Amino acid sequence: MPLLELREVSKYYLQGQGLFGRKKDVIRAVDKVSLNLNEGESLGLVGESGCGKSTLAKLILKLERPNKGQIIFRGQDILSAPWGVLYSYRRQVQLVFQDSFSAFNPRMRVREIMNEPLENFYPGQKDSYLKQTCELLELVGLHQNCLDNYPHELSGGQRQRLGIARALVSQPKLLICDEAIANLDVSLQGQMLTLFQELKEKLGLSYIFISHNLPAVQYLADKIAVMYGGKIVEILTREQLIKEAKHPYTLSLLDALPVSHPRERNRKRLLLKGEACCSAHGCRFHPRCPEAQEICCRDEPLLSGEKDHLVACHIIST
Amino acid sequence: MVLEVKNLQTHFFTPKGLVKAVDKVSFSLEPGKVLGLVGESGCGKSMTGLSLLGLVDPPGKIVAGEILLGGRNLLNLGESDLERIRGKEIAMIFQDPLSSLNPILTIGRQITETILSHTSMTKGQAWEQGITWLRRLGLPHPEKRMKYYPFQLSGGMRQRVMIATALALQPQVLIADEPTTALDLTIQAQIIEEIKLLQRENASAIIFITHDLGVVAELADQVAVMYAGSLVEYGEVEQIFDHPRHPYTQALLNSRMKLGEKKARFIPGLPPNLLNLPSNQCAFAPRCPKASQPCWKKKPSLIPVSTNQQAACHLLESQGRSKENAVVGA
Amino acid sequence: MSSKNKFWQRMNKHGMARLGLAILLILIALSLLAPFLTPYEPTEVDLYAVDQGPSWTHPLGTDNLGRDVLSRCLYGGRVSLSVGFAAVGVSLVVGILYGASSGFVGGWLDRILMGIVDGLLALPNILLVVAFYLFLEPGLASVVLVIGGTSWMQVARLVRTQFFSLKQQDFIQAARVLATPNLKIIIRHLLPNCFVSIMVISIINIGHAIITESTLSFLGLGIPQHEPSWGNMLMGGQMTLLNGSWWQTVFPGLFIVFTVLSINFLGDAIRDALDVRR
Repeated sequence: MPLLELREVSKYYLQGQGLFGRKKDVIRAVDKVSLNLNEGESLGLVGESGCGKSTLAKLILKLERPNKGQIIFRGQDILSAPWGVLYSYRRQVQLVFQDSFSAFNPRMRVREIMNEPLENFYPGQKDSYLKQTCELLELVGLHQNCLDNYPHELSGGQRQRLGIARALVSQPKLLICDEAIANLDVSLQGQMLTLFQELKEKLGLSYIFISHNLPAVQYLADKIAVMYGGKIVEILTREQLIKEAKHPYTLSLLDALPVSHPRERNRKRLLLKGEACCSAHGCRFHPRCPEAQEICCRDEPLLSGEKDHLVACHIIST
Repeated sequence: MVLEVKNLQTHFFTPKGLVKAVDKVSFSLEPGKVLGLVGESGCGKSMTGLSLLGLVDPPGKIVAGEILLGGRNLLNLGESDLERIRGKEIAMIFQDPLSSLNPILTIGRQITETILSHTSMTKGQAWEQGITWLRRLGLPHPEKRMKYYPFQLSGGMRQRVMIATALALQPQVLIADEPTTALDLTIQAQIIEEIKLLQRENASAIIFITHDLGVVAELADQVAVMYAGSLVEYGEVEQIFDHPRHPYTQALLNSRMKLGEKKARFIPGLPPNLLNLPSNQCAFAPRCPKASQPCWKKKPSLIPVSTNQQAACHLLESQGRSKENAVVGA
Repeated sequence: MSSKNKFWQRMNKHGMARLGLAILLILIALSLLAPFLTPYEPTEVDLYAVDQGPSWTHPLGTDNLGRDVLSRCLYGGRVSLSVGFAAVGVSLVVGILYGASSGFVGGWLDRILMGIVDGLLALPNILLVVAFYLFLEPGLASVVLVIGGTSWMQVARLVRTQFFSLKQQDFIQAARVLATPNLKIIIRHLLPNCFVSIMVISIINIGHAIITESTLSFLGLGIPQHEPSWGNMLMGGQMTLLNGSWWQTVFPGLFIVFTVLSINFLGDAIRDALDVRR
């Protein structure tokens, strides 16, 4: 039984006036996404702005309700679950934010920030809170002497670690990291990735690591899902990402990575035309796709392929 | 040499103490070339850019040095002279284009206003210039876009508008402060390619401020690495990437995440607090794997380590000396 | 250092705080100690001493019925200060409850509740006041209720807007993911972050309340003339101002100004002292 199953999860937003019969625009932020995550596995969710990865994270965390589809955790349907099941779900699935600054109530000290989940998940065990807090802080590499600090008194890296510590209070099985290293300096990113790896090994955590930073995702994740326009266009393993990526969008992402040495700078590039946009019919990516053909404009391609490697593309699948 | 910066020092006199945001920074720029100014946050790279434009606010002050633009020292000029130079001869674009653009004016109006205030063109000519530059930067349907408001454009488009506005005046120097950091990867790639194209025809020299060594590898002809307000290494881009001499540069290059990396490498510790930073030691010593006694006694200065490369490290000084001794002894 | 100690330490350092607090305390003390500070009763009529300017016997002069202005100011302070604070208190309680519910729940409830508020705000104040007085007798309690009852809408709007914008902040989402119950989210996260704006509006409203009381008194709906309040003294003195009897309006006016100023200083100081980022 997989740890987490997403079945055709969709989230639509309506934009524009609805009065007097004027047409409303439907924004398909997440469109029939299906995914499986096994225990101990890490999934990387890659894509650019507007592809729906953050919305998908919110849906998984029940911060928003999907319009269609099912979310199944350990065999139980989360969406129609009674409160007891939801409480247990929250215990097992936690979140680390991108912007560590706004992730904390600016008026709360570290001690109080950690106490919040402790009170929610271990009610009545007040005496143990300090001990648990110190253990978790040590686990993420923070010193006890920051207990009385406010979030703005900590550095960016320290705040990010605090976010991780807070998420680990309930001893979750699945940690969702939404661009958790995006706002950090290069040297800090390395430290944070190492920390994530250590936690994965020590605590047996599964991750859903959301990022646009391909090398970082590839480092942490066993399986990678590439999203565009609210849909998953390719699922592959970390090894397959380097040499065997097939979808034109995935290939353009890989191509967009800056070189590592100046002598490589004049290589031929397959740059995408235009901006991040998706079409309402057919393949979402076809307006920008260098390989697009007539069928791409008409029919939506479905994910198909071998066991580990699925691609949603008419051209590649034939 | 279109720009020469000599021993620039910008200090902040705060109630809690002195912050040497830019500490004796020197570099030079040739027409049409790109200088990559690299470092982590707080190293002083943005402040260097702002100092070149005279945009340092109190409690900060440029206390020493020379900024020679076409032979003239900008630090000797008054505010009204500087205003004429800003935009026309030396321009700057920033990381977040949304806050640099006036939300209630169309971008066409903003571009033309900038052009008109520095040249003697007519409105029609300025409008055409705007369209030309937007097209050069790869913006589709530029005639239509000129009538758009900033909020109607995406982040990538807005940044292109900023670059177009800056380049339309053909400044001698363009300072770009992390212009692609907030953008998507594919959009960043597009803009980088566009800048490369422009550099072939344009004579503007560019100072590209970034923390991303990949972008530096794509664009820069020369690299200047900053740490805690000082320059620690400076030289031609290929040499710096092939033979980095300063331990910090080496660590930076090492800690880049590449695809297929088995282990994440990083620089332990944190950049130092610039407040009252001791000036009698190397600022990198606490994090340097090669730190030795002299590093804690005296701050190293930039010395040439090969042709077109300089680094500020005591280790290199002693290596240089031992080389000399070897030659003498022979 | 605990946050309470730090707060008081900062308040102490703040010059404005000490000044504001001092003035306010003096004014409150004067009002409370009124019987001991003046030999005259506030309602004591002396037809031989009508409209007299400041003198040794009447330091602040007398009004058109010969009543001593100083003692009326001191006793009037009791009324005006209590009206000011109590009315704002009422508006805060009602406004916060209303705005928090609307802001937190959102959706259709918010649309209905805010629609009601907008409707009420659109009506001229006087209509609302008159509506209140269909059910109330003029007097101190009714003045408090009327002023509170016509100024809570602003507070509700403010709280609702703050809640809406705060709800989208990451730390509120974080609290939900951490299984924090809704009520706790409101009390621990949302309300404290609204505190500053609520306080600012309260300060402005105290001044308004005192002045509104005077308007009501003028219309005969507030405190009847023989019982002094700063407000009705202002109104009563209007007529004689043209005759040159400036002391009947200037002195109560000064008391109002000092009260509002001191509250403003205090409010600034509290806001700065509570700002965790400094």
